[in-house]
Amino acid sequence: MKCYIVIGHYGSGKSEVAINLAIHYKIKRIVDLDIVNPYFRLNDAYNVLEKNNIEVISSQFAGTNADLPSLPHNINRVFDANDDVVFDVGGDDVGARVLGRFREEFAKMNCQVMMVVNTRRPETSDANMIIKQANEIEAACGLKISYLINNTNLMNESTEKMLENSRLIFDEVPIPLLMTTTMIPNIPDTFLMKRYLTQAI
Amino acid sequence: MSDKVLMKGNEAAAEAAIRAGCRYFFGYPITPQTEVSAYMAKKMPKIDGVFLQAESEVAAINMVFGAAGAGARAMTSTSSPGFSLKQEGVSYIAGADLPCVILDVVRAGPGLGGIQAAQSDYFQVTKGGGHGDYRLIVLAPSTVQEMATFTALAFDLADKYRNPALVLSDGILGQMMEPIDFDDVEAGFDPSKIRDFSDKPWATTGTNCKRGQNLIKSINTNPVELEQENIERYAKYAEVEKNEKRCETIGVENADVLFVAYGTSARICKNTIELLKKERVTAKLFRPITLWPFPDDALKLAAKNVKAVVVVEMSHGQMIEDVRLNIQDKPIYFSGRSGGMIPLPADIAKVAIDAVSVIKNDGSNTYEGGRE
Repeated sequence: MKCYIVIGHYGSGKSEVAINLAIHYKIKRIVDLDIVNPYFRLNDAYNVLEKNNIEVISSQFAGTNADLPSLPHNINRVFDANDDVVFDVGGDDVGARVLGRFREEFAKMNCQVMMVVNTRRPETSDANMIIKQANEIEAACGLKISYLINNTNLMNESTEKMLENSRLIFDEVPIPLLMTTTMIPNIPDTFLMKRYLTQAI
Repeated sequence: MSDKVLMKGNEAAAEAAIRAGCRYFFGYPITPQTEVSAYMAKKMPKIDGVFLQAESEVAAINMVFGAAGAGARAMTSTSSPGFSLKQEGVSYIAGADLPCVILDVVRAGPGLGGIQAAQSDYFQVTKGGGHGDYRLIVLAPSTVQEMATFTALAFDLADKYRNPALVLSDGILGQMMEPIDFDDVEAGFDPSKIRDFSDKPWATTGTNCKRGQNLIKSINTNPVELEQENIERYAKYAEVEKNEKRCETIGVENADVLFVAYGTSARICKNTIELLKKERVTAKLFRPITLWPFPDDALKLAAKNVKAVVVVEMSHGQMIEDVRLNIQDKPIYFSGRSGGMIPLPADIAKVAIDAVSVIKNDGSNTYEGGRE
């Protein structure tokens, strides 16, 4: 059993990345561990996840507009089962703290902790800031970050040049870069993202 | 390469406040505006500013009262039920002629309501809300960029007129992310003035034994004097009305339908205008940017040659009363949703199409559509 834990700065695109990864790599389970923000939750993409035969494990209060920081009541069966799973965690060190609750379970599993970074977010716009954010999250959750995911974007105003520049920032961060994501098609060496949670109005 | 960053509306407003010289923020958490407090909590200590999470909304607005009285650029932010609680303090601040900025990230009501976006605070922000004769200067952003520029502008207007200014956002604008540029936000404020209140001779900065005492108060038990204060305050409001009305008109000049909408609803109306082109109905949008002072003359001008006016709000119709005050010779229709539901372009388009066809038959203006 493999587990992929998606963490990162508030608003870096964690949930979109988690959904995209689950769909693309055909991972059949995804867990909503966000206890910080009542908006933009996995349940908002329930239909597309269900269509892809991905089971969403989330708090019974997620997506109900009840602003309650609660965990899924049935979360333990994720650790008992043998299926691969994606964990979508809340933002910043505050959101990552919830992982500490499951440290012993994660220690027994083959875990990859992936930190999503958008260098166009002001608090993760250079290498030092990214390292600082990573240290804070690691300290809060007690897990070591295995990889970074470069999710640099300005939504519909994203450009290829912006991506190129962002790669230079990641060169200076001593954590391996797993992938660079984009919604712009046909850029070499990128993972093509789709937007599932948010839409333009 | 642009220097834009990606931010939530709440974060953009907080950052803009800091760039506009705000170093005193007093808040109390409430969804969907909590990111403002969270941002200030992180940033203020690093720039020698004050972030304080008060024990309640009432305490927070009274801390703003104190900081504003001392001459500082002070701010609080909240969401609808929290703003109801702050009304007493807002009235005191207005009564003491103090500048401050309040951000209201509106959620659905009444009562505790829900955490999804709404525009049902129009009455309580434009028509007073607290007791006594006073007005708030109210700015209504409709993009994340405007969340920033209008927050900075609110500080300037508040200082200029010594009056509270309010930025009326909603849960969508607060939570959504958009690319934003801070270049034009920075221009307005002189950073050397952050601790220099010499241009506020009324502020309680300490006499230094060089001048008489300044007294900040809203109480006056002498009716003659109190009335005179009110008369002077209303002369100030007349100046605000003369100078500060802001609005935007979008679309073709000779449209059949005029949409009147602010904030998030205005965005949806822009999409509706495109949708209506397919139905061969021409429409334009009048977007009030200042909700008080209400841009009445510009609205009359925009409505001059249209066949019908459709007011779109995320409420059961509040701004529509100001539209009716200003337009008497056209049928006025309403399309709105409430409770955190969002009006969709197709629903609004249907009201517009019906409006145009109803006029052809009997000119009735009693039709209310858009609600299922």
